[in-house]
Amino acid sequence: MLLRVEKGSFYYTSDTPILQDITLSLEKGEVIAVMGPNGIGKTTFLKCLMGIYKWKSGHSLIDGKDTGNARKQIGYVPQAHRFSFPYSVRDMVVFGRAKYLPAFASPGEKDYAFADRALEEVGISAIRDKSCNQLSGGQLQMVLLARALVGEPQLLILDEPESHLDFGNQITILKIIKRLAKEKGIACVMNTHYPNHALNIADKTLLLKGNKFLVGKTDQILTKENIREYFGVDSIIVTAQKDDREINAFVLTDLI
Amino acid sequence: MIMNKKGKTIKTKDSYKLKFILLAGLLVLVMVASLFGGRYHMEYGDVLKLIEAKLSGVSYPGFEVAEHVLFQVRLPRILIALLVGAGLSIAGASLQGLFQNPLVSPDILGVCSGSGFGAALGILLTSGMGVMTSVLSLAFGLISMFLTLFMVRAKGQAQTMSYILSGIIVTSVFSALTSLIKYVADVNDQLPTITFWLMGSFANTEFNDLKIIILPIVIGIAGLLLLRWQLNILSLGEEEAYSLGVNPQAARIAVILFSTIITAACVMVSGIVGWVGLVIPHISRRIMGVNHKALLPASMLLGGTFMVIVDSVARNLTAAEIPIGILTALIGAPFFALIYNRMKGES
Repeated sequence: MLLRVEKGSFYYTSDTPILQDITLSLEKGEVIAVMGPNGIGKTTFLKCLMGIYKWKSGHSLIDGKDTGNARKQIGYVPQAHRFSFPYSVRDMVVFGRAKYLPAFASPGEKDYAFADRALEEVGISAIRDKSCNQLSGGQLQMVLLARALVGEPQLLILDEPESHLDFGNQITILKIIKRLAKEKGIACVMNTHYPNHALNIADKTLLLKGNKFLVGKTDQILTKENIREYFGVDSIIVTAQKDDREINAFVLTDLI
Repeated sequence: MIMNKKGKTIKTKDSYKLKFILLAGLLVLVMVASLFGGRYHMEYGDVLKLIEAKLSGVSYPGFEVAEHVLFQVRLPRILIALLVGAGLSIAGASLQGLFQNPLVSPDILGVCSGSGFGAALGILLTSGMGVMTSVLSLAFGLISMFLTLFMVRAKGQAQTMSYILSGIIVTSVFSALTSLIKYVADVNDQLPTITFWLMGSFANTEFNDLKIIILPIVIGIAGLLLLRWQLNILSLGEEEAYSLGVNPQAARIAVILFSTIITAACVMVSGIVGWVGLVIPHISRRIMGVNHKALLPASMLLGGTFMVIVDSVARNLTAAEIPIGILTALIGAPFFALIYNRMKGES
C-alpha cells in the first residue's frame, strides 16, 4: 500500500469542520478521483495530503512515513495560474528538481536533461523556450505536470487538472495521467468536477460533502443515487459498446 | 531538429556571457573615467601618470596633494558608490523575487527608516558623524528588521502581505521618531546635518567608511549570489515552494538577513539613497530576463555602474554638491514611470 489516510480531519475554525475522519488507501499505479460540490474542501484535502496544511487530527502516510515529511516522493500539480515573473518553460520545469539540490546549488546539465525528458513525456518540447505567461491554460497545465514529473514522484497530486481546458486538451491530460499510472506505477490523486472522467480513469473515488464522505471503487461509488445525494442532480447511467468493451457514462437528466 | 535545439541553447548561454562581459566592461570603464573628474583640478596626463606610478609602486615628488586627492578621496568615494549601488540593487532584486512583487524596494522591511533614525539619534547625541552614529545606524537597521519579522511571526502567517504591512508599520514608527529628533535637534548645527544626511550623499565619505562597509556589503552580496537560483523557487510563493518538496523558510530568512545587512550598511555610509534598488532590477530584467541566476549578478553590475555615474554627476555638475538621493530620485522616478507604463502595455 503506497498511500494511507487514517481518520484525517481538518477545519479552519473549530465550529465548522471541513474534513472529518477521512480514511482511505491507494496502491501503486492506482488513480483516485476526489469529487464534491464547490467549496467543500477538495483542494483543502489535497493540501493536507501535501502537508501544506497540517491535519488537525489523524494523519496521512506514504510508505509508512508522514506525507508532510516525505514530500520528495510526491509531485503536486496546482491549478494553472499566472506567475509574478514569466520564467521560461524549461526553467519552470527544472524547478521541480529543486528538492534534490543542495542549499546553494543551481541545476546542472543533468537536471536540464531531466526537464527535457519530462517535457517530451507530456508532449510540449516545442514550447520549451517560451515564457510561461504567454501560454494557453492547457499548455500551462502541461508545464506544471512536467514540473511535478521531473521530481520523479511515486504519488502525483493534481488539483482539477482538466478544468479550464477545452474538450480535446481535457482528454489529452487524462490520457497522460492514465499512462503515468499504468506504465510508471505512479499513484494519482486528482480532484475533478466530471463524473465521466472519474469513470474513465479512476480506480477509486472519494465523494465529499459537508462532514460526510464515501470512498471505494469508482463504479460502486458513482451511482445515480449518490450523484443525487451529493450533487442534487438527476442522472441515468448509459452503457456503450466499443471493441467488445462496455463503457459507462452519466447522462444528466435535469435539463431534459 | 535536436541539433537545432542544442545550437539554440548554446547560443543563449553565449549571449549571457557576452552581456556579462559588456556589463563588467562598462563598470570598469565608468569607474576609471570618474577618477578624472572632481573639484580639485588635475590634468588628464597627471592622473594617468599617477595611476601608472601607483600600480608600479613608485611615487612622484611634487604631486603629493594630487596623489592624496586621487587615492584617498576620489578612489574610496568611487568604491563606496560602487558598493552601495551594487548592494542596493542586488538587495532590491532579491526582495522583489522573495515577495513576488516587482514594486518592492530594499526599504520594504523598514530597514531604511530604522537606520535613518539610528543615524539621526547618533547625530543628536554626538553632534557628529562619528563611530557612534554609524553603530547606531546599523543597529537600528537590524532592530527594525527584527521588529518586522517579529510582527509577522506574531501574526502566524508568513504571507507576503504580512511582511509588507509590518514593514509599513515599522517604517512609520521610525519616521515619526526621526521627525521627533529633528524637532528637538539644534537648529544651527544638528538639524542641517541630519537633514542633509537623510537626503543621501557620498560627499563626506572617506577611506575609513570604505573599511567599515566593505565587509557587511560583500558578505551580503556573496550570500545573495549563493542563493540566486533558490530565489526562483522562493519567487513562486510559500505554498508552491513547499509543494515542490523544499522548505523555503530557511532560505527566506537568509535572503532577508543578507538584504538587511546590505541595506543597513548602505544607509549607514551614504544616507537614504532611494530608487536604485527599485529601478535597476527592472532594467536588469529587461536585459537578462527574469531568472534570478542571471538577474542578480546583472543587477549588481548595473547598480554599481549607475551609482558611480550618478555620483560623478553629483560631484561635477554644480559647485555646491547635489545630494545624491535627490539625483537618483530625479533620474529614477521618471524612468520608472516610463518602464511601468510599458509593463502595463505588455500584460
